[in-house]
Amino acid sequence: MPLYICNSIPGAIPQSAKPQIAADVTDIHCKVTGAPRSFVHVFFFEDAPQQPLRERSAFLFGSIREGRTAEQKQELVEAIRASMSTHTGLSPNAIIVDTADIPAGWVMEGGALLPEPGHEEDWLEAQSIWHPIGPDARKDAR
Amino acid sequence: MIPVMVLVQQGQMHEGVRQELEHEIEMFAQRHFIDRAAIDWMEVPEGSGFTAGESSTSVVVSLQSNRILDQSVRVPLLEELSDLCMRHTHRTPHEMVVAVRDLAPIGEV
Repeated sequence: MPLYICNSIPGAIPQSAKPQIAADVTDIHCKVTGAPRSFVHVFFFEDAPQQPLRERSAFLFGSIREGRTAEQKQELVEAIRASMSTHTGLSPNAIIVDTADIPAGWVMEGGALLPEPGHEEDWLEAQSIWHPIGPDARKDAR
Repeated sequence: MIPVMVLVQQGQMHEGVRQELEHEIEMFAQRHFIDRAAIDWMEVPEGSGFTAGESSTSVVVSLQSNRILDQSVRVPLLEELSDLCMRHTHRTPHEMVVAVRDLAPIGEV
């Protein structure tokens, strides 16, 4: 988490643009929020019924940890839309970017609950001293 | 029904593993929510999944509860779901993202 899922009409996002957009989304999210890069997932689909396109060409939806300010979210949306437009040639008006807040405590990653925003360093430190090999390791870490 | 979204990378697991995991998630939903799971299985096409800006091997499982969960209830559920998914997919904890969300309030999608 964050989990960014992009749906588009077939061919709207060329294969060659996907790594570029994913790198930009990762950079933008980390710059704006301070989150570690390892948290950022970006997945691309075409014609996915789960995420209707609302008559646009592409829709990127980000589930992000709760606690970001309205300004941070606006910055994320604008910068990501600009990146997608640059790499695809689509008009910004043809691209929807939106986010939804998910409480950190609802998500487990790396075998541990995600940290609240701003507490990533402690979490990463705990991860580095925990050798993740399965449920027994989690018990040892308690 | 308990909506469960499962996101895997294309070619990451064969049909047998998928069936085993779906069965385990079904059992999990029955055990803890007394309801059937509605599993939405999504394969991320090859070259279309990225974690930390690199090609992704992550599996994401996101379940929506049919009630509001106290955190003292949610955490053991997350641990159990994470463990059963890792066991069947052979992913490491760092490749496994699991969410247990509350029932969306009325009016919220």
